[in-house]
Amino acid sequence: MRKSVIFSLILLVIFFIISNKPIYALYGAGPNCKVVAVGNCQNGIWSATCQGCECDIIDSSACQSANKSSCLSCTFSCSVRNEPAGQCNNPPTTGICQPCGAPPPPPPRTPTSTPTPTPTPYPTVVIYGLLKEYSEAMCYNNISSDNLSITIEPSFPNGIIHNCGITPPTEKTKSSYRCTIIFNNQNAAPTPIQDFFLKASANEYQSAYWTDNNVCNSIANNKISVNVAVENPPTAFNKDIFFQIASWIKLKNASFISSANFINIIPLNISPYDNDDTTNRYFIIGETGLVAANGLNMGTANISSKKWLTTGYSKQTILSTTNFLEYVRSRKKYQEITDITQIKEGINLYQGDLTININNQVNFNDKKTLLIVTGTTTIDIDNFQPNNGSVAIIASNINFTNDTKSAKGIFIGQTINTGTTTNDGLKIIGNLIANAGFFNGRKWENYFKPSLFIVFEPKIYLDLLPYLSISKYDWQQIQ
Amino acid sequence: MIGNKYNKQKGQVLLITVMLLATILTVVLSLSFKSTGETQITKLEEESQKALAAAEAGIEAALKQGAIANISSLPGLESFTGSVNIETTKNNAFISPLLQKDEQYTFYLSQPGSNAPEQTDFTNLISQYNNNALTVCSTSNSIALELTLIKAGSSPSTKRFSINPPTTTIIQNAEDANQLGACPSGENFSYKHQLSAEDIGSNNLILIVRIINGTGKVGFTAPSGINLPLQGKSIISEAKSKTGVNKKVSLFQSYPQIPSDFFVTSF
Repeated sequence: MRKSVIFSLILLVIFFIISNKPIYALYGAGPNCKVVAVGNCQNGIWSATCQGCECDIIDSSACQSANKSSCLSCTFSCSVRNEPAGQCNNPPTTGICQPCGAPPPPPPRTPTSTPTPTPTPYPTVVIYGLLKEYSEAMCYNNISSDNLSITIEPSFPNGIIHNCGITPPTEKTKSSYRCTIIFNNQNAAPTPIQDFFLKASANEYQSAYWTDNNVCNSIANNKISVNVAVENPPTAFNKDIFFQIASWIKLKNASFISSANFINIIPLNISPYDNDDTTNRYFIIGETGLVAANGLNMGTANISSKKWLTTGYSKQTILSTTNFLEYVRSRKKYQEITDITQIKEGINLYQGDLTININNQVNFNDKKTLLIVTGTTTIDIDNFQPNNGSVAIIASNINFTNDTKSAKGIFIGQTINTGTTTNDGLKIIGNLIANAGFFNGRKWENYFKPSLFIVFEPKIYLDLLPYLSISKYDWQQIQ
Repeated sequence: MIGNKYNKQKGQVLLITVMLLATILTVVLSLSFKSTGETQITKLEEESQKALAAAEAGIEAALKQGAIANISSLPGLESFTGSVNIETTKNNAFISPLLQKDEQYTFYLSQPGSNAPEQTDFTNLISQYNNNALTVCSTSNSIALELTLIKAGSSPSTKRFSINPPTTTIIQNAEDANQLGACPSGENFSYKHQLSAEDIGSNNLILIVRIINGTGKVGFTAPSGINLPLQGKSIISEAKSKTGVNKKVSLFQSYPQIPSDFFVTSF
């Protein structure tokens, strides 16, 4: 009996030598299985990566594509070759390969009692999904970021090997991600039942999160529960990540200057404000000018097609609204009014606070008017647009009520408040200049449209040239 | 004997008296002359100040009513002669006043109203400088320029340029000054940039030049043989008093300038 066993073993060794197969044992595999993955052995652990077309991939959809260099993880298949009948019965076709030279597993004993199931070595869980921009129940595929970070944090890190990859890895526009979580139950004792948490962030977005069932909403649930202790555990989880965007501002045909750090993240997927706007993903469209600011963050969008930019810039005030009023009083013709019905063509000075509404807008029709208000001017009209007229308003404070949807004119104030809405933007045709304070609480139902759209209009400047201007003097004594 | 000595002493007293009188007379006469001279100088200065004031008054009057043929027609200036003229000669070049950082200059490529300098209807600009090159010069190498060309039309439009001094990048992605054309004389310009005739195009009304990052003057030059439109009122006022004291002053009042604080979107 002993001699026959020894003889069988010798035959087995001779068979392997003759067939010249490398010895990669696979748990439960027959003696003729061969791993076709390419990798290396380190510290007793086999690791393999996709190398061009050398890796025989099973379940990574990304690895099915032509560009297999984007594969980040894969599992392996064994091809059973020259299988003698009866010797590789039902070999598994997937698994983790043992290091070279590992002794073959002992032949199974004749069971006298119910055998204890052998745990699957290195159970692996994959979490993958699309990256999407979200705003108010609207979602679009792809995000744009220079510094996207995605990790999966285990509740019990012992024995857990995890890493995440992003597709594509280097370009700003990102479409998907894939994280691999390996339970290293061969060299450690990982907790087989535990939760994993998403940690994702990008400077260009407010937040990043999973939702239940990948529903497009703002209800975050960044936890996933994994149980690899059961038989045939789920190994792949499809979880899209949603990145929330904020409201933003767009200009047309303008230059821009700010002494502040100006943050205006423009989402990847944008909608035009109206027919005057385009889907060009810029801060300024049309005949663009220089953008000068102390600091600037537009996300990954460009400021304009011309990209004229200077940063670290501090604006110097040459003529404040107060100084201009003094200039008007000493050098220009103007009339002081006590009621808006007294407005005439030219410069009008009003002391105190003033509200422009649908009832008194008519006073601006057919006139080229500069209105200087020493207090607060409130624009409380759905569409402020003087008929056949041009108007500029200079005031300490200018407030647009929430009902105002558009206003045509040049609005210059120490502080300007565009109002606070949940589904209404504001369009300014002319210009808007806030010297000291600016608040924009405008929002649409979704943020893919700009909440404030300013279209520079030179005609108003030409119409008001005698009024909204100063003269420069050069005096010399010749004799 | 005693009588002779007495007669000699009488002669000495006369001499001393005459000498004393001469001395006193000299002092009195010189004091009198000095006083007269100072009075004359004071009077001259007074006349000079009056003539200067008259000339300046002529400037103020001309700003309101135009040229004045005879300055004595102005109230209070009847004793003066002179005139106040408004220069209408166009030039090939123009230099702006000193501009600070973020300040801008409104350079006219048009004329108000009916081309006459007295017409000041700036709401009705008529395009004059079209399809010609224009050289823009800067007196400082630390200044970049943003140029905004406003053109006429049923819906006026803009065309913008950004210029960096040579070998600098004050404005990212802006054009480097091409160093073409000529600069006005009378100032030391550091660099120049020529806008081609194609750049300038037609229907031009105003060119707004904004100073980025420094302080300096901006010069404008048209090609040889071509004049630039007037950029304002040049008034020369001369006043001469009855005593012949003559004063002449000049004032340049620019056409309306749009302040950059009211022109560039900012918040």
